[in-house]
Amino acid sequence: MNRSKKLGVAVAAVSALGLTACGGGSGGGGSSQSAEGTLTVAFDADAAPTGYDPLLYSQGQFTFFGSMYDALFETDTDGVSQPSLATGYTNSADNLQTTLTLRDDVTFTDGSSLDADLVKANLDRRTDTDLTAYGAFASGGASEITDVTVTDPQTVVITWAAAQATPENSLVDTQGAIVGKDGVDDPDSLETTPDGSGAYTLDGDASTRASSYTVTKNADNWDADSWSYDTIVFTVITDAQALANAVVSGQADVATILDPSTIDLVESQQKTVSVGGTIVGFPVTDKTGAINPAFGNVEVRQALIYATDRQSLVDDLHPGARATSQLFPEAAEGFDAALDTEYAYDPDKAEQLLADAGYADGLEVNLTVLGQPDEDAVAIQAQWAQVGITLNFITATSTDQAFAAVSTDPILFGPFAVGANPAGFIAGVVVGGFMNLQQAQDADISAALGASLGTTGDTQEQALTQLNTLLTERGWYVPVYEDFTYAGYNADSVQEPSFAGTNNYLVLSAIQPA
Amino acid sequence: MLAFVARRLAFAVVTVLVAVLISFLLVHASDTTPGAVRLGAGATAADIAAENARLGWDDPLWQQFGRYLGQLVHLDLGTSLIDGRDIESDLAARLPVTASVAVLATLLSGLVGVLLGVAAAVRGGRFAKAITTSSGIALSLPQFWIGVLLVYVLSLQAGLLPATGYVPFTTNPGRWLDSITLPVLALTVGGAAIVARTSAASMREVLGAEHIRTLRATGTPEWRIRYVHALRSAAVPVVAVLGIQFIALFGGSVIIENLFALPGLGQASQAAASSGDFPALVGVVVVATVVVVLVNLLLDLVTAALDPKVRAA
Repeated sequence: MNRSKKLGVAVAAVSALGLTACGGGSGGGGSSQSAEGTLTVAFDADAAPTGYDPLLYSQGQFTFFGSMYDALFETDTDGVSQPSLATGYTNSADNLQTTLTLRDDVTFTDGSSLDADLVKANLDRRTDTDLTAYGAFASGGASEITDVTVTDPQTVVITWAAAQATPENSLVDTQGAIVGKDGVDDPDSLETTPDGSGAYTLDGDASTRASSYTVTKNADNWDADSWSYDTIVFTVITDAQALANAVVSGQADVATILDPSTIDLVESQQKTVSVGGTIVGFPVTDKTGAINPAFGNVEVRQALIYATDRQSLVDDLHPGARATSQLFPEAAEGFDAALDTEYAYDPDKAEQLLADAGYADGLEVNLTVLGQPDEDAVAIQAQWAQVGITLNFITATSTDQAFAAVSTDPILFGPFAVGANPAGFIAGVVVGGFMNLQQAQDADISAALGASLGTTGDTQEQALTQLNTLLTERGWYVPVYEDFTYAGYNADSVQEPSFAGTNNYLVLSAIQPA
Repeated sequence: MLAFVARRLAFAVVTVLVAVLISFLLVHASDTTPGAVRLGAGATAADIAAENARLGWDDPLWQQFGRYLGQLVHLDLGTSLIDGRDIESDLAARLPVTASVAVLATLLSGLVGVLLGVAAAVRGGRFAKAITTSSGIALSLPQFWIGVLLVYVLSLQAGLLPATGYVPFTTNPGRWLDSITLPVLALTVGGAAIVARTSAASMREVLGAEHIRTLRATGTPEWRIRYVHALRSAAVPVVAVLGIQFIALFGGSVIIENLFALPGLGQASQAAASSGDFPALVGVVVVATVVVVLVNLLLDLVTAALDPKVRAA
């Protein structure tokens, strides 16, 4: 008898005095210990808090939804969008139309088959504002779709409002996920019943909402052989320490996203893998001076960049992070290492720029925070004070007030990730989204963005580099540091998992047994 | 005895009704509505108003409360605003998790606490002081801290028990026991300490009582005096403490369930509260209240059986 069993028996003996209420229910969460053929993935947050419609979620949720749903294209471990339900595409010469060719051997859990009508029916849900994944496809979105036409059962033509040279980057993961006919006809049914064509189906009896989800392999799936496990159990462990404990003690094969404070513990007994890509910094929401007249001056916005001692912030508060002066992460196309040198901490230059803009005596900047300002903001407050910039924290009394700060404050603060489609992020968030509600215009940025969206290959990379440079040069974003996302894994049970390129989510299908 | 049981049953029903009413009113006093929760941040005011009307939120409160009570009579807790799941099925799956941890921790607290308390009262001297001191230390330790320590030592370092997760009893009884051992131990440390103190004090008092002296004078064996007569009299306050202990463990399961990633009622209540899922939140309150009231009822009956004076009160 091993020690574990001895202890279990001891507890059983002392608790045998009339235990009457311990007959576990039929649900109660699945087992979290690895068994042969079972992969256990622990998440730090509920994988499906609002049901099983993949279109309700952002790209990062595809680690979970990719088990039950296929997408037109899916991101591989290099961050490249690979054909999945779409076998390929052709673009019109002006990149305004994309013709997709679809697989003909795909069946959904409701019994329906993949065809062009179903893809059109899915994409036509883009007017539903609740569908996070379709935000870019909706009117005014970064990848606005104006029309979807069926030309034959396996061919569909998508018309874009603006040129899309790389449409596979927009029709990928949750954005490209295809729901079966019953789910499209009655989206409310997806609250409780997934309707995908993925390699796995949900085992409802072995799943408990917000705690654990068990999916079992559908051997008839067209792509079943690409997946290594018969069963995947997704557990939700919201406590950061418990999440780390789960992978250290072997209850989870993979745990993501690990809190930085637990990395040492996990690495002491198991292994971790990390990816950058999240840039923490200040989006400048006021570029016209409408909220704070000083921000109409590019010199003032640049002064904020020069006044921020990023390296000391990283050294003191975020060991392992990388100080940066640009919105694009190190691994993204368009990243330019020279920017980090050119816009390095230089308080003298910051003061000079402020003086040139007519603010030699300094200026005040408001930043709304919900609750207490975080340690980064407090540290930067002190740094900016040294060049005469007074950063005032305005405490929001409601989440509505916090969200309204995009219209009332000249800057915001937080983590942002351009993801696998940097141009799409810039178009949808930085230029055409909440970071620019004033609709500030910059002809150079618009030109670089247009080129980034409408070209491919080296030309696109050059355009992205130019775009990235301009965002810093024109002070549209005040970057601070690039943060890293960590996942822990049990090297005895699985090989090193991979993130989806620079995205901070894992490619589930790529996880292999050790 | 029948009249006593009838009184306690009536009181239990009233307690449940009051708890349901309070949670119902608190939900209505919040600054959001089920329509807003169900439709999400993108909904217009008109859409929210229409959804509220559809859900009956605009009806008079007494009508809504009446409808809800009608549902409860049919054991129908409704569906989640967030994802439409059946709440009673969800809670039925979670109840055994919380209940098994709370029941086992209470029983273990009782067993260990009574053994230590009685030994302290009987032996006295340094042993009693040691029990008093160590129970004082145990009482001062937060449960989550004990849990973290147990995980570190028994799971992360020694690898004896799983640090997280829950295995249903029906799936594998052995692994079920393994999965709840650490949470039960974490809760038992403080529970056993308070039971030990209570039973020691009660036992000391009883051992000095007149009827015990009479028993000694009549030549009743000492072991019978201590462990039959004295222990029975001393058990009344201990049972009361155990009842309170169970209620505290059952109601305060959020932290322990988070620490050990147990899919219980505490986790459900936290998720429901943070997402504004009113029906799920009220459902948790109803289930927890019913369990607590039933346990209280059971304890009242046990106390009455132990102490005839209680039945007459």
